[in-house]
Amino acid sequence: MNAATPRAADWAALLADALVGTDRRSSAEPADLLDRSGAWAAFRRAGTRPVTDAGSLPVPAPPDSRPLVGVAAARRLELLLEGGGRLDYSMREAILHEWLEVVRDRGRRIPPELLPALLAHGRQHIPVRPLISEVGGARAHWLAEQNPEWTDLTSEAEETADPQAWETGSYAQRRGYLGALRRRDPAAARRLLSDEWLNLAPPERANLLVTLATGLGADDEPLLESGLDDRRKEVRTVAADLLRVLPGSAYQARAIARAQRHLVVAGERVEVRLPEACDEAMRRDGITPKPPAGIGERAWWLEEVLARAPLSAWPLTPATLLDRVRGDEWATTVHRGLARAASVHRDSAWAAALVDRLGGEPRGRDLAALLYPLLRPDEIVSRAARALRAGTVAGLGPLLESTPRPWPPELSRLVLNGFSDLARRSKVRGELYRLARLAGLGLPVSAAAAARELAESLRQVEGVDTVTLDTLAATLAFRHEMTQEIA
Amino acid sequence: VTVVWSAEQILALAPDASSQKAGRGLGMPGSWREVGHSIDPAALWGLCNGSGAKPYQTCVDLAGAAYRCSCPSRKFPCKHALGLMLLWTAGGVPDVSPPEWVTEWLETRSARQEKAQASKATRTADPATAARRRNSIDAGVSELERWLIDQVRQGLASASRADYRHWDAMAARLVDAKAPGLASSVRRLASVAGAPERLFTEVSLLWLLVRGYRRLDDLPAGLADTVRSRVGFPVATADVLAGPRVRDHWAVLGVRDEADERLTVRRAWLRGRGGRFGLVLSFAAAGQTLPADLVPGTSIDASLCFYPGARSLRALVADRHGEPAPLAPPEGTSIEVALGEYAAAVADEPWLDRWPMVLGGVTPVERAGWLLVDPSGAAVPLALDPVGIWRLVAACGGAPATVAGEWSHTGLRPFALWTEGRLVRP
Repeated sequence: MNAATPRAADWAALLADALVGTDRRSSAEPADLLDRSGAWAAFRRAGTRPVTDAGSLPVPAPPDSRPLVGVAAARRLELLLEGGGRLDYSMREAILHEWLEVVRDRGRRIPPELLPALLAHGRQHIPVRPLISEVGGARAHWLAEQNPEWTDLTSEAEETADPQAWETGSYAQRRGYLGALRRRDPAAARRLLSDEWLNLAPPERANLLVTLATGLGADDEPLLESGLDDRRKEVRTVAADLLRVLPGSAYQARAIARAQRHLVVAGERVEVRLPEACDEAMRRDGITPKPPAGIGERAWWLEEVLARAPLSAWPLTPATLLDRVRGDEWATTVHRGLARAASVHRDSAWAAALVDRLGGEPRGRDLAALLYPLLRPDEIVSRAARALRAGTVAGLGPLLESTPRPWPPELSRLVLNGFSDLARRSKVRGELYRLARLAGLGLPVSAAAAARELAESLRQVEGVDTVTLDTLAATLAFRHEMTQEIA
Repeated sequence: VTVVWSAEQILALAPDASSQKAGRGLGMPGSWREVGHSIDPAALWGLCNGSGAKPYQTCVDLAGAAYRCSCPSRKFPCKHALGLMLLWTAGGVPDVSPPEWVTEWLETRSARQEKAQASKATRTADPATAARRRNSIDAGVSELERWLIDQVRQGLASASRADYRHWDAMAARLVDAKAPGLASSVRRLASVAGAPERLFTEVSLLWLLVRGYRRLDDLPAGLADTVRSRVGFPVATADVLAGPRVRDHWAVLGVRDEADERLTVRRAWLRGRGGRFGLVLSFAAAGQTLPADLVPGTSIDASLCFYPGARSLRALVADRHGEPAPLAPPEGTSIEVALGEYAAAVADEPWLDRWPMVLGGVTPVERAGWLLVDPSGAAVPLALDPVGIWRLVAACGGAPATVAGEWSHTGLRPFALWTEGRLVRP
C-alpha cells in the first residue's frame, strides 16, 4: 500500500481502469490497482465534507401555546389513524372525529409529528378537515404550506382563489375556483358562468351550475330557466332543483298553480284530482313521466307535482290539511309528495306532521328517514323511545342516526334496556348488530360500565348473540378510556 | 417486586408491526375477563374473547419473559399476550393468586428450562475446531482474493451488468468457508452494482480487508481484532464479558430495528457522559421477541463490555447498577465536528459503515433532497423515507432541534430527535 498523499486525478484514473478492466489496459496490475484504490476509498470516506449550499432556512411555524396531549392519547390517535384492534374502518373514522372534538374542546394540541398522518387522512375525508385545521392549529397550516399535497387540506372543500385553476385546471379545479368565487362575489361567479356557458363541455355545465346553490338569488333565474331547456338531462335536473327552492321564482309559481289544480282546497273539503297526463310543461319543470316500479303512472305524477311545489301553496296548517285528506284512496300518495317537499324545503312542522303517515313498506320508510333530521331532538327521542317500548325496531336505525350525539340520558337508558330484550330475539339479529354499532357511537361514554354489565349478564342466556354486545361494550370502553386520557 | 414495564417496552416486544397494532387494540378492559397478576410467581394471565366460542387463555411469565396463549397464532408474543401486558401497565390488572392452569404451565416451563441449562453447561470450546476454522477461512480468503482480481481484470463495468447469481455464488462459497463477514460484504456489492463508482469503492475496501487479513500479525492489536471480526471470526460472549468494564451513565439515544426475511436485528445506540458511543445489538429469528430493556429517552447506570476492535462500538451490558432514569435532551455537536469525528474513526477503522452522530441545532431543509442544516450553514443529507422525513419536518416546525442518527456515506438516518424538550422518534 503506497498511497500516502493520493491526488484527485488518481482516483478517477483508477476508476476508469477498473471499469474497463486491466486486461484491456495494460497500464496497471490488478493487485497494484486495488492496493491504491483501497487506500483511496478509505481516504475519500474519511474526507466527507458537509454540503454548503443548503440555501436559506425555512420560516419557523408560529408558536402554539396549547399544552400537548399525553403519551397515551397520542398513542390512541396513532391507533385510530393506522387501524388495528377491533374497530372497523367506519367506526374508527367516527371515533377519530370524536377524539379530535374532545381535544379541541379541552384546548389541547397534538404531538406535531402525528400531523402528517392526520393531514394525509384529511385528504380522503373532507368532512373532518375543519376539525383537523382547528386542532392542528398553526403547525398544521405551516406544514400544509410545505407539501403541495396538503395545500387544500385546511379548507373545507377543494376551493381555490387561483385564477390559473379556472384557465387551465381540471374539472374539479375549475369547480373549486368557481365555488370560491361564488362565496366571495356571487354576481361575478354568475357572470363568469353565463359568459362561458355556451362554450362549456356538456358534462361540465351541470357540474358548474351546482355552484349557484351558494348565495342563490333572483338574479340567477334567467340562467337557470335557460337550463331547463338544455339538451342534457343532468343540467335540466340541476336547474329545476335550484329553481324550486328559489323563493318567488316563476318555476315556483307554475308549481304552485299545478299543485293546487290536483289537490284542491275548497271550503271545508280537500279534493284529490289525479293528473290526466304528463304534459310538455310538466316535463320541462323536471317531472319524470315514467314512474318507478310498483307505482301507477297517474299516482306518480301527483306525487311529483306535489313534491315540486313549495309548501306555501297550502293555505291550511299541516294538521288540518292532512286531516281533510284522511280516508282518501290517494292519501298516502299525497303524504309522500308533501314529505318530499318538506325535505327539500327543510320544513320541520310539515316533517313532524307527515313522518308517521308514509306507509310501512321500504319506500315509505326511506322517505321517513329523510324527515328525521328535520325533527326536533326531543321529538326524535320520544319517537325512538316509543319504537323501543313497542319492540318495533324496523326504521329505528335511521331515527337513531339522526339523533344528536351523545344521546340524552332517557334515550340511552331505553336503548340499553331495549338491547337486553332484543338480544333474546334471534329474528332481529341483523337489526341488533346495526343498532349496536349506532349505540357504540351515540351512547355517552358514561354508559360503558352499564354496557359491560349487560354483555356479562346475557352471556349465560341461551341463544343470545353476545359478540354484538361485547363489541358494543368494547367500543364504549374504548371511547371512555379515550376521553379519560385526554386530560 | 416486579417492576411494571412501560407500554413502550411492551410494544417493542411485538414480533412485527401488525401484532403491535392488534396488541394495542386488545389492551383495553373490554376485551378481557378474569385477569390477574401475581408477584410470586411473577405472572400475568387472563381470558380474551376471540372469534371462537371458548375464550383464549393467555399467560405471561414475567420473570422469564415467556408467553403462552391458547390462540392459534404462531407469533411470540401473540397479540393477546401484548394486549394483556398493555392492560397491566395501564393498571387494569388486580393482584390475585394464579388459577391452576397458570401455575401448571409455569411449573412445566421451569422444569424444561433447568434441563436446557444443564445440557448447555456441558458444552466446552474445542481447540481443534478453532484450527479447522482458521484453515477454512484462509482458503476462503485466497479464493476471494483471486475473484476480486478477476473482477478488476475483466472490468467492473461488465460485473455491474451481471445478475445476482454472479455475487451470490461467491458469497455462498464464503459462507461454506466459515467467513460470514466476507460473505455479507460480497452480497452488499450486489446491492451497489448499479452504481459503478460505489461498486469500485466497496470492491476496493473489501480488497483492503483481504490485505489486512494477510498481514494480520503486523497489524496493531485493535485493528487485527477488527479485521478478524469483519472477516467473520466469532467472538464468544464470555470473552467479551471477561474484558474491561466501562461504567458510566449511558444515555439510550435510540433503537432501530432492521429486519430481513429470516432475522431481525435491534440496534440500541448509547452514549456515555464522556461522549463514548456504544451499540448494543440483539437478534431474533423472524417472529420471535427482541429484548426491550434499553428504552430510548432513559439513561442507565451500567457497565459495558466492548467487543475487541480498533474503533469498537459494539458492546454488551455487563452490569446494571440501578433503575433507568429519564434522560434530559443530550448535547449535540456541529456538523463539522461530527464529520471530523467520523473521519478519525474511519482512519482507525476503514470499514466503518455506520457511525453515530448527535447534531445540535439542526433544521430540516428541502433542497433537491432533504438536508439537515446546522447554525453555521453546514449540512448533511437525510437518509429517510418520505414518511420519516415528514414526521421530522412536522416535529421541528422549521425550528432547530437536536438530532441523533446513524451516519453512513449516503447520509444521516435519524433515530431520535429532541424538540421543545421532548424525545420524538422519526
